[in-house]
Amino acid sequence: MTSVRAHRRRTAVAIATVLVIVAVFVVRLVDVQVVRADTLDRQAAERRGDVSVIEGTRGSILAEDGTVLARTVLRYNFIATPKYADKGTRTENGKAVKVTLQQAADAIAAITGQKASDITGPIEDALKQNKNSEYALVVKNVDASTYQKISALGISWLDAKSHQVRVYPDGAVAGNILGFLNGEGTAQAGLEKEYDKCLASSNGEQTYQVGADGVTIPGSTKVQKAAKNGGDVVTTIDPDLQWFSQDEIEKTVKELGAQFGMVSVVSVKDAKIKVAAQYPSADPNNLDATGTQYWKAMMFQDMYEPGSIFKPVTAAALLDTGMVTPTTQLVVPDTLSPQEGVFVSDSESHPVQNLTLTGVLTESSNVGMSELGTKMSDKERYDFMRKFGFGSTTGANFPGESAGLLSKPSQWDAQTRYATTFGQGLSTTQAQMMSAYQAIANGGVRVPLSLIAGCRQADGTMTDVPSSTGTRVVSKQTSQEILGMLENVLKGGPISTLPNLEIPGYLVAAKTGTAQEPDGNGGYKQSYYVSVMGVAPVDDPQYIVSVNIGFPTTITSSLAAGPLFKTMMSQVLKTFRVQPSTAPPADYPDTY
Amino acid sequence: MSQATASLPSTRRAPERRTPPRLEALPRASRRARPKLFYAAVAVMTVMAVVVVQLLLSIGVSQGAYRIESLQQTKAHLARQYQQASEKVQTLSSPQNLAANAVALGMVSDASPVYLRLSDGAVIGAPTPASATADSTGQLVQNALTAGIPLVTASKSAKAPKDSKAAQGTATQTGTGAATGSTASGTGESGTPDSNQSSDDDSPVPWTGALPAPSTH
Repeated sequence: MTSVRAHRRRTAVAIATVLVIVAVFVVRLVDVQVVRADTLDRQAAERRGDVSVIEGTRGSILAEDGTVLARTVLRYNFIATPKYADKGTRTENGKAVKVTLQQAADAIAAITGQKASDITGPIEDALKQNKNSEYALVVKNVDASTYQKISALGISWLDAKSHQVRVYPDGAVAGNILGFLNGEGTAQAGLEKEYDKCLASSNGEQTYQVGADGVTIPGSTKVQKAAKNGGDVVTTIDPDLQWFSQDEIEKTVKELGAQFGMVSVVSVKDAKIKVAAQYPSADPNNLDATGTQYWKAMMFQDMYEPGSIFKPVTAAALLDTGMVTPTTQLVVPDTLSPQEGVFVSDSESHPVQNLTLTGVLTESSNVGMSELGTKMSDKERYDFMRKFGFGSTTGANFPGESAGLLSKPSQWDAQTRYATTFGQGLSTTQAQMMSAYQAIANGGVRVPLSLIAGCRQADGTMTDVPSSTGTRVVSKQTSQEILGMLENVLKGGPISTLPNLEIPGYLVAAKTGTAQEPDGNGGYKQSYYVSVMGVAPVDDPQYIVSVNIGFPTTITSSLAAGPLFKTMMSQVLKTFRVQPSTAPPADYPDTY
Repeated sequence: MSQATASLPSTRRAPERRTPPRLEALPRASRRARPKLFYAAVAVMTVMAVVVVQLLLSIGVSQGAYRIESLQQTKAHLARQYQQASEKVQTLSSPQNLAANAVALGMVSDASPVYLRLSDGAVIGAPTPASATADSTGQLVQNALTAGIPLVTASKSAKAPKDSKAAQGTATQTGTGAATGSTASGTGESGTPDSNQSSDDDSPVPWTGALPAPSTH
């Protein structure tokens, strides 16, 4: 009996011990194979094999029609191992044959267009310093087809390494808006910088093991971290129209002996910037061809005193508060000196005129505008200017965008109080002027300017879509009255002496400007900043076009900008297939 | 433990061993010996079979590895060709290049468009012929990428260098084919992508198909 019981106890103990041991192993197994599997796997792979980086690609900048404006491509460098350069082979008809350094260099040079000495030189230099040298860079930055050709030579001591390069297929077209990267690939300016978060990619990592023959051992490649490609920025710029504008502004600036010029186009309903052209412009593929002062986007980063093109803003404020109507009558002399230290004059001397508000805008009378504008309280006028967007950056958030200069009424001296009615004594950017005109043309509702439609992520979703919520600045009636008054500028204003300025079939509202710019010493420069801004068609406003020419020498009045304005407006209406006007013109009288 | 196992059969077998004859131990021993040999043979055969199968499998897998390697090279090669081709298309379709070629072919743009209003058939604007000479070379706006691209009119007259280039293209083609072939160890796949190498030719592609026409309503 005792032996049977003892036997059973021993069996139980044995089974229990075995079970415990099995349980311990099971726990350990689960821990190793399931719980810590990933970590251990990675550690093992890293210890046994090689780690390589999977490069993510920076996103492209596209136009809305899909045209590529900026993209990242691979370029190749070829690196020689100088210590083997004399005992090299190359592949001919599938067999390795001996090749001397000179023969190999000749073959490479024939492909790249280098001289053979460009290849032998670095190799010999490296060998002079160290006869066991393993590094000499012989071919730099070649594209894929050259890479294929050189690789096909099969030179045993030559190795290729790829790197990413940013290219801009359309060159200087919108180059100043796109911006550029520095040598390290960091965004420096423009959309590249503004939407760097969207465009940026992140590199991944993989581990693998290689057999003695250089082939990766099957199943050993493990992606530890997947690479992430950047998203694409879709810009609102129309590349063809942008090119046309840049081509035209360059011709005009050169003809007029001017220093620089700008052309901008913005759609009225959604405030999308279609063109932001400038001359001189920068080609991001080759920035050195352009002076550094023109690497910026002048539309956002340059401020200037706008001059007479600002008058519609004052007029809109006056109309909206009900102080005037388009036919308000006014007696306008050519100079005005209402108090000590204030002197306002029109650009040309003229006898006293009986002008309506419309006539003041058509003739662009500083005196007339001063008389009317100062009837309004400074505070109220200032508030209108702020609502039109002056003194703050536009919604485009362009890197380095200027907010212009608009001081508070308390800081205005007597002259400034008058000058601000006709666009002097304050500074704006071209973008701010476009934004103000957009509000006037869009029935009084200002929509923030936008340069991009959004950031298209890899999965097709659009993020960073700019806000299109507008704020009302003036009433719809004010908007219509301003546009109606500005119809007269091309018919009877200072630039109407130019032949062939109207666009048949379309009602065009326009305003000229001949602004004086500060000389930096408290006075004004002798030369002018001439401009024409306009909206068409008036009965259903679609596009705003602005032409600015800096300091022309052959023609110094706004006549200089007139022909280009017409060319641009015609091209815009043609490009976007805008329907001709159907409504009759407003026909406000200029005089009484 | 040994004591326990020794005592265990003695207690159990005790009743069985009463009747059976005493000389039955030997045949039992021989019967036991035969299965031992059989099982050993089966075990050795199994092990050998496993080894052979594993060898075959690993040959298959490593063959696959070479194939994967070769296909990956082909993929990289095709990706490079695609990048090269798309880059070229994008540069060629840049407005600078298109405009310069249009001007070279004698095209001019009419600066005064005239519109036909469909509702009443009215002609808006005065139709005027465009000037016979273009007022622009189309090349004012810089583009470092289009600098080396010949105009379509230039490449027509320069037929001879193109032929030599084509010859060079075929030479590279066989070279690359052989290079990838050596690592691909006869999978026969590597030749396919290289046959498109002549895409490096710079000559314009002749248009085939209908000319694009604007859609009218």
